Amino acid sequence: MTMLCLRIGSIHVLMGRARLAACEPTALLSPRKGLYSPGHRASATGANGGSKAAVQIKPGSLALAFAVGLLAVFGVILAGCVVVPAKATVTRSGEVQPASGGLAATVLFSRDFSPDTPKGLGEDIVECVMRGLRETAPEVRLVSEEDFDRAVFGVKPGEVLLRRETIKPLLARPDIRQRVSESHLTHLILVEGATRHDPGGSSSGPVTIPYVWVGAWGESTRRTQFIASIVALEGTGDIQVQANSQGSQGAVAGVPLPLFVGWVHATESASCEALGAEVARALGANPQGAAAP
Amino acid sequence: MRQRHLVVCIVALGALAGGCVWSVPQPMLVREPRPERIALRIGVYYSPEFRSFTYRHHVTDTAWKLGEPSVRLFGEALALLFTDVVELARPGSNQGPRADVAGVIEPTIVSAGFMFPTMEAARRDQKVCFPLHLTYHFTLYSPQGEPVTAWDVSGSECAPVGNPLRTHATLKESFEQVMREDAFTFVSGFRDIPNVRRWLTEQGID
Repeated sequence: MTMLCLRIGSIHVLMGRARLAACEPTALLSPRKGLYSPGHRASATGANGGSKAAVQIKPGSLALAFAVGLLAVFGVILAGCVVVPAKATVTRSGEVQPASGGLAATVLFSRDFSPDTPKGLGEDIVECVMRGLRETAPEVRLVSEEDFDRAVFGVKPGEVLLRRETIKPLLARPDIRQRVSESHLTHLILVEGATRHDPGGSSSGPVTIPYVWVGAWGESTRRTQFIASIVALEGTGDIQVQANSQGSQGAVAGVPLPLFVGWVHATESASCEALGAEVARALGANPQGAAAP
Repeated sequence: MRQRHLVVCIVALGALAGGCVWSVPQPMLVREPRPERIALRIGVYYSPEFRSFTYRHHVTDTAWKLGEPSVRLFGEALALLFTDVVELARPGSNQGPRADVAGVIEPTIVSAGFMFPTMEAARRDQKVCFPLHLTYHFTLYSPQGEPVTAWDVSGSECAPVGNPLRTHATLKESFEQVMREDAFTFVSGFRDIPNVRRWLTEQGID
């Protein structure tokens, strides 16, 4: 399947026969280790066998060798997008107060809270945090958005306005405090995030080898920031967890030789893993594992 | 069988090319934070133009049915705001004296649309988004059919498009979000309109 990644501004063209589904940020959220080159299987063709006998080169076999060689070259140059792992740094603004009855949280993406985060990305960040909690802090009870909205606000998802300025007044209302107390829910985790592209990297316009090739290459810096705001429903103090990751991406493109090859640092993937793990550490009532004596 | 599939494909493509792509946003009403309910019986009139309002975007050849979901949305919004709501068959200005309602509200859509993102905006804001807006106009009539006041509620947003293949879905969600915001602004800001406040005082509402 051909992959294509275009970015407005400086040149960003990534294409290939990758199954790693695109350079779009959400596609890079799946954590991977090591270098991933989707086209590597195509690069081993085209060896000539190395016969020592005198060879009479027939026009037909020359054409065949040329074709095989050309295919091999195309196989390599169409290798596509190489995804390089990136590192993330995390910061946390405070500590979550433990609750006597255990922690129960809902992880949400809301356009009210984070209007600049694309819906698909927001939902992926939710999954990052939930995966982190499931893996690292299984003692934290996870509650669905539907159950949370019904239990705390008595409404369906979408019927409560979760803006930064509305959450506190809502949670301070006596009827909602009562509902929170009865539901045994302790935290609401709201996520947001974005990847910014800084065109500070080097790039060039058309590069030509007359009669043979016209091409261009470009490079930019990717900065990914994922944030989880952990709201204590009983007002014991909110904290914010941030995961930042930085890397680069670039591509070379050319015609008529169909050269489209590039790389991208998996900054989303790194931020995803780091955010999930840090939120789990922040909420984990027993970070060493629940199997206490 | 193959021919049948081919015909289905051609019909589908024809429908796409012929401007048959239409969407009906399904906005949710914000119920929390909820407004203080007004203990009045209010009439509402939805004109045929309002009910059937459809925004057409000619470049993409898509149509967005905004009137139909607006009727449902504002029906719910008025029911949240007033203790009793009655839907009327005639315009507020042409009701004749009515003693059973404190007033008649008539909504219309005055403007709706979206634009393609510009390269300049994308560079400046570091995101690709479609600027989208929707403006409602409300007129409040007295039971005698006299206009009490009129005001606009306008919402806009620029939802970022993460995946280009989700552009249509993102636009639909943006319309839903803007309609939701407009309905919330209508409900939460109703008492803040000076002439409405005066009218409420006349009705004995603080």
